[in-house]
Parts: sequence; structure tokens; C-alpha cells
Amino acid sequence: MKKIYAFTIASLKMMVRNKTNIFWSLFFPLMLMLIFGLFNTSQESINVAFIKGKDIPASISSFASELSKQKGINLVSNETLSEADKSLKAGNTDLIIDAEKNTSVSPESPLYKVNFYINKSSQVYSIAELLETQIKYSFLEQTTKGGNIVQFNQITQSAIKDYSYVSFLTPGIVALAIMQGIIFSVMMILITYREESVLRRIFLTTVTKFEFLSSLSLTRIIMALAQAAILIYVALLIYHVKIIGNVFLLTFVVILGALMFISLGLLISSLVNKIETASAVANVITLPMMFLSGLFFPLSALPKWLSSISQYFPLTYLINALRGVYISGDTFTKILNPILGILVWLIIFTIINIRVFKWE
Amino acid sequence: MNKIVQVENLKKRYGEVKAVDGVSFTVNKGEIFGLLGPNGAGKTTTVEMIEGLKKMDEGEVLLDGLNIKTDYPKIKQFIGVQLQSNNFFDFLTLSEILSLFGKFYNADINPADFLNRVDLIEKRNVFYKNLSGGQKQRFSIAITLLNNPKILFLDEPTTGLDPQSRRNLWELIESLKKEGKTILLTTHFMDEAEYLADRVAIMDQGKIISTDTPKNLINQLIEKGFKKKIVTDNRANLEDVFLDLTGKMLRD
Repeated sequence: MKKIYAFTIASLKMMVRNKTNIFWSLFFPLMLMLIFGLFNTSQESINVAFIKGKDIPASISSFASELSKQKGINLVSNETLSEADKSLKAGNTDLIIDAEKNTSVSPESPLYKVNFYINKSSQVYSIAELLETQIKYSFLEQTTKGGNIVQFNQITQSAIKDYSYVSFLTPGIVALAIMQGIIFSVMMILITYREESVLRRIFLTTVTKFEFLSSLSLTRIIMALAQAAILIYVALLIYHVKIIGNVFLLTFVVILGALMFISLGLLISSLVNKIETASAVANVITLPMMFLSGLFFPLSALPKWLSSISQYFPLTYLINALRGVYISGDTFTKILNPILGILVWLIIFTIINIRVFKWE
Repeated sequence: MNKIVQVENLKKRYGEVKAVDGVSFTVNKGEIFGLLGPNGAGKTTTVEMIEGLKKMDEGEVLLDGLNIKTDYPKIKQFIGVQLQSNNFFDFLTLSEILSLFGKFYNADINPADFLNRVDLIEKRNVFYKNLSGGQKQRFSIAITLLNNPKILFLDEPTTGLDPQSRRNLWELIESLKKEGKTILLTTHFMDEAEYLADRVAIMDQGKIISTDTPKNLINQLIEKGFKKKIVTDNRANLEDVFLDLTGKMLRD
């Protein structure tokens, strides 16, 4: 254990000091996210649906026409609340204002009720919230004469799918970063260590192969988790992409994906003897996955015959599992399919590794 | 005399080529034993089989009485091996590499102790790849000392070094002998063997063709009636002149 711990710490140091590694595993995916994220951040206006119930006095409803005059506010016409709710869940509406007469019979209760439904995963969530406060005040101003006649409720929708492009993209970028970071570093380390007798040197000490592989894997898992954390944090900061699902499930998916790519990296290292050819081989394997795994555009955008193949790619499974938990808030059972896909690949790679892996 | 290294009828073939063809010798405790021979003679293969790095086809190797085939994990604890091509982790300083390798032996060592011994203390925060050839060799010897080995294997330690670094390394090797370590040295420099080795074995085409002290081997040759074509003065040679003019100071 002591050896694994010491070697893992040292390996992490080496990775952080290796600028090429940091560039490819962190800055490159960050750049991709920032550039492609720009595609859909031009949403300047906020979509508001106003549902006017029966018997709502003009003093309350007149603000709607005022609202639509404001720049950046789009009044969406929806007839019913359920219709508006659907639109909100589909990501088309950011805020629903539902004004209705209070049906409560108690004489002290307010006459009217105004419910605000805010799309929590909307990019303009904070603006919607601000608007809500503004509207409250304008309501109150207009109805002071009538005393406490309006009751306000805020209802935030939490488990709604976020359909903005950047939220579609971010899980894919996380998966890509993990794949690139792990495959290249595992492969390069093994090929150089083999070629330059570092492996020999290590195994002349009392370190076992199990200890070496454990530390190699542990290092990559920690790196993958750090990559995911940084990318998710930046996406939250800049594009307000939030983790909808369970964070522990997300962590589990990252670890599983990391293990899959570690075994793939080991496999590639056995197929290649020279450092010069290594990155070419790795690119041949990773580039098609990068473009065909539903990272930048959904698989449905591909020709049928192509997507019927690429749906089985290791990266596709990882992206699907990540996207499910991260953006759609899927539970374990809902992402069982991609999880099984990752496990199957992990087992396949491990079996091949047992047969072909070479230390010398 | 305690025979700490016993090699018996060692054989290794690659396809049709008999790289090592029945090598036997013993090394006494505390001596420097030189394994000499031209390139391709089978020195490195022989040594790698003794170190446990290569599987032997045939033969027996006992290190301090333990069999390499059955007791390798125990043997690893008391041998130090310097490989011919040395490379260590990139992006770790010398101190960090030393403590890491110390941990590989389950030991908490103080890197400064080892860096002092090989004259590299002022390079402790430098990456290995930024060292000169001589410094790299000295560092790799420091690594082999981490488990305080009884037997040291040095494979062509001075190849590619300038005379100053060579002399410096020789002094280091002599000081290790004084500490009581047994050293098995392979080299193709005869002056190195003559200077360092108590006994030498000369290998050619996978076989040992002669084993004795350097002095005895020279005397045997002279008894056969050998005469040097160019007689230089025994009291000094060109390398001594070079070192006298350029000084013994290390240049790296």
C-alpha cells in the first residue's frame, strides 16, 4: 500500500509538471467547450408565459402588455398552464406567471394567487429570478389600495432537461477529456518506460506488477475526476450548466469510464513499439470516436449505417451515461444500458490485455 | 574464501545464435570482478541472467547462497543493479526519484545522504534529463545503493564519459569496494579493468576464455614472448598527460 501511495503521489506530480499532458487533457477540452459553447449563448431574451385565470382584474393583467414592451422579454402565448409547463420542460420557456383567483374559502386569505414557475436549468435562470422580484413589486404597487389581496408563490422546476447546446456538449467534452488524457498518458508512459528500461529499473526493486498497475490506474482515476470537476465547474461558471442528477452516480460513471480507457491505453501500448508510431495509432482510434460518438451532434444526425456502428463505441457509452446523469438527472436504472456497455468494453480490453500485454 | 557469486554453466541462445555458451565463474566477497570482452561477446546477456532480468536456458546462479530461480524476491533485497541504458522518470527531481525508489524498497531514505555520496547534492532539485553523462552515471549508482546492497552490478559504467568523469567514477567504485561491497563490473575498456578489478574474466563469442588477476594475465602474455610494437614509457601515458593539462576537476 505504501508503495502504491508513494508512486501515485509521484505520478500525479509528474503529470501536473508535464505541460503537454496538461494541455491535451485540460486546456484543449476547455478550449473546445469555450469555443463550441459560444454557439448558443446568444440567448439574450427571456421567454415568459403569462397564464391569465378567470376573473383576474385588469389592474393585475395589464402588466403583461407592459412586460412585452421591455427589451429582452419575449411574451409567449400559451393558453393553459399545462401547455406552458410542457414548453418550460422542453426548455423553450424560462418563466411562467400563473395568476388565478384564490379558491380558498377562508375570508382572510388573499383574493388572488400568482405562481411563478422558473426553469432552474435555464441559461437565463438568474434573469428570470430577477424578473420575478420585479413583477412582484409592480403587482404590489398596483394593488396596494386593495390591501393584501395577492399571494405569491415561487415554484422552481428542478428536474427539467436543459436543451441548450452547451449543456448537450459539456458531458461529451468531459468524456473526451478523460479519453484523451488517459489513453495518451497510459500509452506514452508504458512505451517510454519500456523503451528506456524504466520498467526494468522499477521491477529490479521489490515493486510488484500489481502495485505498478494499481498506482498507474489510481493516478489516472484521480486525474479523470479532477478533469471532470474542473470542466463541470467552468461550464457552471460560464454557461450555467448544472449537475441535475446525483453527484455520486456521476463520480461512479467517471471512474468506470476511466478504467475502460486505462485498459484501452494498455492495449494500444502493447500493439505499438515505438513512441513515434504510438500517437498515430492512438489518433486513429480516438479521432473517429471524437466525431462519431454523439459528442458535437446527436447520433441521429449521422447516416443510419454509421450510427448503428458508432452507438457501440466506448466513448458513445461514456457520453450517454454522463449526459444522462449530468444533464437529464437520470438514475442508475435509466443509464444501465451505457453502464453495461462500458463494462463490456472494460472486460473485452482486459481479456485481450491478459493475452497480449508485454512488460519488456 | 566466501564465494558470494557462483555461476555454473550458464547458457542462452537466440534462435541459432549461442549468445552465452556455458559460462562459469565465481566472485569472492569484497572483490571487484571484471567481465571483459568486445561488443557482442555476451557480457550483458550473462550479467542480465545473473541479475534475474533474463531467463536462462540452462545453468545455475547462486547469489550469497540463494538460487536466482527460487529465491529471486529475497535476492532483490541485497543486490544493486546499474543498467546499461539508464533512464528515470521525467518531471521528478533527483531527490524525488531517490525517495520514490527508496519507497520501492519499503524504506524511508534521506536523499541527501545518497546524493552526497555521489557528489550530486547541489543537483538535488534538478530533473534527471538535465544531467550530463557522468552525472547520470553517478546518479544511477546512487539509485543502486538505496537498498544497501551486498553485491553491485555495474554494466559499462564509464562508456561515453570524458577522462575526468571516468576517473571520478573509478574513485566512487573504489570507495564502494572499501565499504565491503562486492562488485561485478562489465566493461570493454582494458585500462578500467586493470585499474579497478581484482580479477577479470575475458569473454568472447559466448564463452569465457580466461580468468585471472590482471597482473597474472599480463605476465602470462609476456612469458609467451610478447613484445609491444611501440614501447611507451610505463611511468605515464597520454591520458595522464591529458589529465595533467586539463586538471582533474569535473566538467559537468
